[in-house]
Amino acid sequence: MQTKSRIHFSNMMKELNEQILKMGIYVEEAMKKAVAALRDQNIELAEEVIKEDDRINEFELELFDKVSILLATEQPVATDLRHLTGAIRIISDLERAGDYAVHIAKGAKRLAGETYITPLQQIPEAADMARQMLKDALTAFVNSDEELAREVASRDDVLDKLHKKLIKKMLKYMNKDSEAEIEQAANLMFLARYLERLGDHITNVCEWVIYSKTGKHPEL
Amino acid sequence: MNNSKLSVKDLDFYYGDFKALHNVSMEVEKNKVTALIGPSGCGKSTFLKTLNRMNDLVEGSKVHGTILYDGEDIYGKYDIIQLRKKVGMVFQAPNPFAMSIYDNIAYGPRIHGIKNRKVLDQIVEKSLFQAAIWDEVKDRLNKPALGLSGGQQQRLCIARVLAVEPDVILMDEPTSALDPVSTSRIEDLIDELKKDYTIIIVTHNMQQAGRISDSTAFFLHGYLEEMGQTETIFFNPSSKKTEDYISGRFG
Ligand SMILES: Nc1ncnc2c1ncn2[C@@H]1O[C@H](COP(=O)(O)OP(=O)(O)OP(=O)(O)O)[C@@H](O)[C@H]1O
Ligand SMILES: [Mg+2]
Repeated sequence: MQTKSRIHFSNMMKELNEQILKMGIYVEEAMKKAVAALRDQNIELAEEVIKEDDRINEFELELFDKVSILLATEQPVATDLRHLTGAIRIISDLERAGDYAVHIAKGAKRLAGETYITPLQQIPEAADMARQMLKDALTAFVNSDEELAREVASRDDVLDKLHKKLIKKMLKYMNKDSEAEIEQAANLMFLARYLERLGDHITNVCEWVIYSKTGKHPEL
Repeated sequence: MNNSKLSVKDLDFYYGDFKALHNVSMEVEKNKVTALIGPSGCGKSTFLKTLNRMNDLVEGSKVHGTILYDGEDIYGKYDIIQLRKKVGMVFQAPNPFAMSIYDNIAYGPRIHGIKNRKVLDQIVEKSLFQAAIWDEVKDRLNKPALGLSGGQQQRLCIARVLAVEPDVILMDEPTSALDPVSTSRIEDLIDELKKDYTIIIVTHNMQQAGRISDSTAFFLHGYLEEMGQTETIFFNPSSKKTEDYISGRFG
């Protein structure tokens, strides 16, 4: 016979899930703004992203403490326990993702005064994709949706392809005579690399979703 | 399985018409601690008591199936006195006899025919020492056991069981009446004792089962719902019912 029990604990878990989603939204916003700042060469927007990263860092610590307290006071086991240990890893992936947004924002500041050698295409495209992946991965976490987690992780291939495409494109500028063009191409390659890394962190999130559901560490 | 101390096969148990255990099969490993968990009334104590035939005393009780102790069928020709000596029991509430600490421990050995004072002295000291209470009582061996604290009484009861040199120790919620410090002492003791004994413990304290046992058996409505390595049961059980129970979501 199953009745409702441990209502307090269930509420705390629900609250934690909501806060993780909220942290995800902050990261997503940061990424969105960072890439917009890069595309539009908007220094102010870039500085906003850099400033707001503190909020994401603090959020991670706050949630870390929250999980620690739940572990100490509620002594969860099995799925509940794995959800919480998974949450610890996920918030750390989110914090890193926030750092990548900062790196991109700093790049935007550096490149704001230059004329782009070619219109930005792959970077905004990859960023849009990554943001959707991040949102979906966190939805998978709060709903313990293994299938969605696997599907999200499989999208990482597309991100990787976009990254490769951009690298190829930039390499063409590398054997030009203009030092400025070479430097800009190298900068853009770096920035694209952060998005590729972001994809890896999202894949990690997906792995923690599956872990918390199954107790097994998948290799996605 | 050669490491089996007790091997239970297709065990049914009845109190009159009421079937309290259904088709329970279990291997209890030698020198391991096995925890029995499950909601109140699921049959843990009943199962524990079938292991040394304490239930025989209940009128109208019936047992089907087999229980092998070191390969011998305890419901066959096994000598009951010998069985109870080999498979000792510690109960939920400490139940020292209204006699001195010394006599509590010497009681069992005396019943088994030991009269020599020196031998008894040795048994008393060794048992109290093994039960980690010697230092606390060595200067008051002739004082009444009932004057001890609850935690001390429970360790005395464990010493009393050890005095008859058992092989298996059954414990039915031995720490449910104790404070955290006394509980820790008993848990440390269990950990120490498993080197020499096989221990089966009923507990309602999930953390305790997690801390001290090697295997955990989850009973539900008289059935053995799931049994496995304690780590597996608490980290990733197979049964949804086990998960709900250990997560405290069962009512
Ligand atoms: N002497 C008895 N006569 C008849 N029925 C009994 C007797 N002892 C126990 N029962 C019944 O057998 C079932 C199992 O009881 P048991 O004492 O084994 O449960 P338990 O798992 O140890 O519960 P608890 O955790 O409350 O100690 C219960 O339904 C109980 O009412
Ligand atoms: Mg009982």
